Amino acid sequence: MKQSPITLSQTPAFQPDSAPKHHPDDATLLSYASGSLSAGSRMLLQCHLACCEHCRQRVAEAEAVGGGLLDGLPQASMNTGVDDIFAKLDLLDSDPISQSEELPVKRPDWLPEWAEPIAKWLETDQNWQRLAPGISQIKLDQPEFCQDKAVRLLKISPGTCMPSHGHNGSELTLILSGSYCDETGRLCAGDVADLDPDIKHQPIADRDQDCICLIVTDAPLKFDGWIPKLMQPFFGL
Amino acid sequence: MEKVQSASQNWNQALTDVGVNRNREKFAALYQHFAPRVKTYLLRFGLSDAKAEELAQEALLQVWRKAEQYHASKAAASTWIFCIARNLFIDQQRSGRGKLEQSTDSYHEHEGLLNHHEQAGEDDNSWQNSKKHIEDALKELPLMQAQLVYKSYYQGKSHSEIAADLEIPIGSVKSGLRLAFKKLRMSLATDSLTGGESL
Repeated sequence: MKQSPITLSQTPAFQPDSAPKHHPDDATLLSYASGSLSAGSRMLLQCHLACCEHCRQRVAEAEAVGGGLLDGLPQASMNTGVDDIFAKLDLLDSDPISQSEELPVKRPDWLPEWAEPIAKWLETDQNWQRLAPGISQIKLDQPEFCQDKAVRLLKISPGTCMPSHGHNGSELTLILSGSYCDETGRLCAGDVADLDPDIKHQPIADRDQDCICLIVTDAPLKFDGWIPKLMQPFFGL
Repeated sequence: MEKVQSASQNWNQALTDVGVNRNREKFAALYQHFAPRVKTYLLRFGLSDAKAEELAQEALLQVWRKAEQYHASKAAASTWIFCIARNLFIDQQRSGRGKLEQSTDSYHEHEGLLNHHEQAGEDDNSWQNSKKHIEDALKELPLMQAQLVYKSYYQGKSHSEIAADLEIPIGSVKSGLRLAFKKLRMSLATDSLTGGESL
């Protein structure tokens, strides 16, 4: 199994065209550092962190809080003493680290380099599935994402207007390419929208190119109006 | 262990020495200090004693194996070890039978444990000072915020799980964590836990 990087501050930076301007909430960065995000949200954060120095710094701070908390914990009684451990060290040292390197994953053209963590979940010939006029999706519903309500990639044609919606839970959106505008501003590649449940928004894809984003929700979206409501089971969002 | 200005920097040095010289004496000291704490950390997530022991050992073995990658200028030893333990827990969760049995105990049930000066004092007095910062900062948080931090770091609960647990809106979970993080960050900025790097 591939080891997660020990500290994210070591992650190489892949820059999108400009540094992201919309960041995850500090509460979300803290939960990332504490290891308490669902697998889908964690993957989304990994992508953003790979291209965002600002958030890598924040995560490092939240990890330092974790280190401080670890220091302050009471000691559990250990059944294994230092001598047993030395025996294991001898064993380890005589056995060179077996690198269970994962094969490099082929990244589709539309997926930026910093979004590499998504690539391994995409089947090689995975096709976009049409959802509604101007909107298609790829659903990531592997068992690893069982804690997430929905993990999906959406491709929105230029100028398409998404239905206005609020949320029961939290919704994280990462822009992979293209851009969209909503009530909170203009979001471009690398940006994350981390919306509180009380915020309603209506994203409109910019006109120049497709907008591809990764959306992770942990509770159903609430659509306004009867037509989007009818579409809700269909969207499955 | 001799008393010096900062115990935290002592551990940073110890871990650096393990990386540079494969210093077993220093590793033994790190093991004795951190393994029982990593085990407590893992027990809080609801792992069995045997599993927590196994993973705590695995964590410290990784410390031995990866010590060369450690840079005291980037993170405190405790932070680096915390990340190893956290990643092991995440991998365990991923490969294991999905979600572990959820613990629903709360911060104040463990509050006594967090204020364990007499226990901590037994093994090493020089630890008091550097630990005090984060403990004090945690104690100064309003109970609800401390509770949120506790559930996030020690129970691995997501925002929506915490919201359901405490029967409060998700927005309150996020704003509470935000405020708590701000205060804890400030307490760390003046502390050596960040390995002396200015934040």
